[in-house]
Amino acid sequence: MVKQGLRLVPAASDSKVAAGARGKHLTGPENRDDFQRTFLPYLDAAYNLARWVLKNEADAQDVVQEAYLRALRFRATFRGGDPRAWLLTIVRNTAYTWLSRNRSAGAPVPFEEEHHPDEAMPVDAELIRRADARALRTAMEELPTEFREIVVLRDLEGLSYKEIAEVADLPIGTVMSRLARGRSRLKRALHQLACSGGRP
Amino acid sequence: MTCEDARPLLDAHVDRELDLATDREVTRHVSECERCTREVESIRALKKALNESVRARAPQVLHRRIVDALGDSPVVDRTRLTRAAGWVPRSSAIAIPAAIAAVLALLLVPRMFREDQGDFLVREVVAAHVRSTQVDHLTDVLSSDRHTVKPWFEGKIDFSPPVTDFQAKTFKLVGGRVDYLDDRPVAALVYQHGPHLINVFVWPSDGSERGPSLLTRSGYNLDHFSHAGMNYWIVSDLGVDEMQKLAALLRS
Repeated sequence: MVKQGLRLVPAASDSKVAAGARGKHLTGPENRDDFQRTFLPYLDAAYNLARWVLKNEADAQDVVQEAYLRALRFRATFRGGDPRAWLLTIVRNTAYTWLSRNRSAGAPVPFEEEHHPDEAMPVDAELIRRADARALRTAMEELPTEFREIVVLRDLEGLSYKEIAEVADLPIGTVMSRLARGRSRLKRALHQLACSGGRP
Repeated sequence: MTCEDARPLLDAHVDRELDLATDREVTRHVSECERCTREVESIRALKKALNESVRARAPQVLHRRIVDALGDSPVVDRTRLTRAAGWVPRSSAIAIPAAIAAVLALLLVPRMFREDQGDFLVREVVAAHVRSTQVDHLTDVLSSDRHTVKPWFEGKIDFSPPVTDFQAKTFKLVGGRVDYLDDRPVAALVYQHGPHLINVFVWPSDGSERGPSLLTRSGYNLDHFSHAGMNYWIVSDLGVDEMQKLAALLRS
């Protein structure tokens, strides 16, 4: 009888990590300076992901701070690899835990992809090039979170599909289909915004 | 490759995430298909537009906040303590005055050090409690049934914490999780009393019995005792009387 929302972070970033840290003391050669040198360069990436998962700047700041503290706490479980992907995993988990606690509607819901076929003709590339920043942001905000986070990780942060699969704990095939679906929805939203004169 | 086969692969094609053979086939199809050419162009345009105008940058104030928070974090303080402890013996080898100073330091430091560690643990316990209530990682196993909670810890920590539900005595067991205190993984049992949440941290002691000692830190009440081979730290915003009641139940 474990609630879905509660499992999200603890499963990935606390219990598993804590179990991995068992017996390993945090007093190794790594210190605060090493930690900052390794992870602070990814603050923009961390903030950008949190900002777009939560759709709120103040909440994103709180979540990112919390995520850094968790990362520091469990840094013994970071065993090489890509520090950005490791940090973003914690940021994402922290953001979803925050969502499940504060906004029940914001948590990801299982999505049946086959029920949403994309038969529409491609949206004109020129229309997308003309879209202003406000329209792009509106389109992003309207995108369901499970697509939005994948678009952020790929198109804003430039992660590979494999890295996204690790961060979001998804099979690569799902990453691929969500990304395609997410972009397709964004394009259609931009098309609609252009037709309605910028109003959603 | 048919248009139907190619369409779901166009995004991965633009992202250069396809294997070479598939990518070559998609490229060939796109060169022959007007619809797919337009689709590829619009994907490229979208990627560029998003990258240029949607990415959020961390405000300077957040950078400051995080550097400060990391500096205050108890985990970091521990490395500082370790370094200070390692420094003392080295200095004693330098010269006689230094050796005398070191002897004095050795006499004085362990005492300070012990107090520091005790105080450090108190701060750690409070921080763990605050964290568990701030962001929703209060429980990893959510159950009021001690027969669910107790086995859950198996394999996650190297001891078996005593788990009892005191619902009849108004302290309801909510669940448990693994936390990290005093340089080791510990069991955290979560109880609820009215609107108050209580964290009880448990880990094996050196075997000595210690009576309850109550203290208050940052507005939270803490109670610490050792009983039946286990260290207990209780922390909550609960009143002192209730804290003592729960301590008595845990010791019974």
